[in-house]
Amino acid sequence: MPSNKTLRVPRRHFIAGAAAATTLTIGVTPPARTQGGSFVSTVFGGVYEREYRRAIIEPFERETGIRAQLKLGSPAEWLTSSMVNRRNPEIDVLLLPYPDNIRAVQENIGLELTKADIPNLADVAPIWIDQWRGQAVGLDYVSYGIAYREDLVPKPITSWRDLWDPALRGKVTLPAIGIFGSWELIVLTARLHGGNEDNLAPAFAAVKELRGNVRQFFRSGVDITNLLSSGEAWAVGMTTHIAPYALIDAGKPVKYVIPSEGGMVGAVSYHIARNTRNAELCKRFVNFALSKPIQEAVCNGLVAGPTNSRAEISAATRERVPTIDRLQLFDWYKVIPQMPALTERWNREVAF
Amino acid sequence: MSALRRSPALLMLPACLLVTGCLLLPIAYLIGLSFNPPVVGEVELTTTLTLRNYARLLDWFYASVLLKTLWVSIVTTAISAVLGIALALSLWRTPAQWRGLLVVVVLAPLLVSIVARTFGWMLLLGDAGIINNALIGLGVIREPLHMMFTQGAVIVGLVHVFLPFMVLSVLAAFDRIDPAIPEAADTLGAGPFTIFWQVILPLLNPGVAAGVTIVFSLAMSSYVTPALMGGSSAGVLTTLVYQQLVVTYDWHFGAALVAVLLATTLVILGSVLYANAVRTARWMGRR
Repeated sequence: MPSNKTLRVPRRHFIAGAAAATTLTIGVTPPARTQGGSFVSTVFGGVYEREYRRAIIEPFERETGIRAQLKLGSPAEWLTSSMVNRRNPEIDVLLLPYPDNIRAVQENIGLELTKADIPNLADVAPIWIDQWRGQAVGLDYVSYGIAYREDLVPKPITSWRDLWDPALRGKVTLPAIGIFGSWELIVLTARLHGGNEDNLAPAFAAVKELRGNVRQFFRSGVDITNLLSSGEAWAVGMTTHIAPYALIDAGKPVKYVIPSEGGMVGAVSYHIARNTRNAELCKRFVNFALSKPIQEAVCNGLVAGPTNSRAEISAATRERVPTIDRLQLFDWYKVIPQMPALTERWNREVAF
Repeated sequence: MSALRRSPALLMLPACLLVTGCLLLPIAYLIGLSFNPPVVGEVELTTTLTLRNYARLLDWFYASVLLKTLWVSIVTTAISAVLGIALALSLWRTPAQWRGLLVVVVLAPLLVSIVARTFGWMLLLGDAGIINNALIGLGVIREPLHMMFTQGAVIVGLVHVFLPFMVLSVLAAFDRIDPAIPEAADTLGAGPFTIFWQVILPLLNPGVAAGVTIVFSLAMSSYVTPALMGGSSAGVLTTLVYQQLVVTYDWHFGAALVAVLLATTLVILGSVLYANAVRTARWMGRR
């Protein structure tokens, strides 16, 4: 029979007990370990994470018993963490996009990758190793092009120059400075108007001219989706194929094109932190991700181009990812030092 | 325990340590960084001091961005105060059984993600949105009004999300008013406007002041709403801070921008609260 007496715990005993329990929970709980060890890496959120886990992480953990702990967040945050904790890195393998992956090389964050440590590097096209000066290797690449609402634009868009068409007044969205596609937009516009990586000034005069057509500077793929699907914007000036094809697959009258002058390249790369204590596990992981079957799986899942030359992507993926010869690469090492000045100029002349 | 009884101030020690460790030290570090020479990618404090980051701010461009940020924040706070007082008054007058439900309705904007909220505003204010379609349908306008992605849209978005803070602050002040006081004013022949203006509003002062402090501080430091609802020229000071910290990695200049934003917010709030305190003291003296 239950007692009617209330159990009374003296307050100081309660506080002491709670403190002890908290200490045990926070401080003494052993970190999750697996037989094969573990390491920390990074991943982008949303669909990317889901496909990445399915194509790379799950088979890797199954095959090796090594646990990959994935950290979500932003590339700038990951890179900052690697720079601040250089001697004792929190992240063992960084997966970074442009321009952070080039900046990581300039900051000397990554170990030199060798074919002795990562045999599958032998199958990777040199372009996906050399641009990171041997300190990183590309996982996959995507294109940057133009997306537009087929039902709203007065005529189909085929060239980058079509963005300047007065018929698109107030109906174009471009990346905000620093957001994916923004540096590509500056370099491409400079090239279209007689400039290059050493002379980006022509881009500003041209983008100022384009400003009348700009409805908003987008900051994420979600912005692109909202602007295009609501019809607030008819054309996206520089975007990867990911958001547009999500809308196309949802039945929206959207088209994604690689303009006649060529698209731009987006790529993500692996960087193994120089002072990681898990270098061997990390090398094993990168080698695994570069293998032919995994490259095929991840690229078909993410709809991206492989860096392993032997990998064969499906016809559906091939239809959406152009071959690298239709895309323009540029020298990020020349652009990155100019970024503070470019940002300042963009703010003064284009945005704000 | 006996020491705690002897000195109740010791009870405040954990809170003070928490605030110092989690808030004041990082801000002090950031402000210290703003006095170091700008080196891209460098985050360690050094002993080399300079005013170079602040000198860079002596420029009309940065002054104009600061003024724009202030303008947006002041208008947001003013609209929130007016609407907040009206809404809190309605809630105060609402029968107790409905009040809880209505408070949840007032808090609703805080329960919806910013992305969903922005999309909702797009459906309402967009070129092909409900308002434009209605106005075109009624023959009031021929071309859609550009309401979305403007400074006006930013203010609407900020008021939408910060209004609950104002309402809750003012409602707490309403609850402290003795209902006998407005009744007494009524008995003595004061009209509804006089009762509100000369009796209720002065009694609401602490609540309004708290609401203004919260809403103005949040508006000055808001980043996401201006970014999502603002147009191609809707950048505010926090946009510049984000760029310096995340895009160009010029943390020293970014820290200087943070210091200016913080100082401006504190000076304005301090001035308003001081003026309010003086006014309240005068009112209490008159009484």
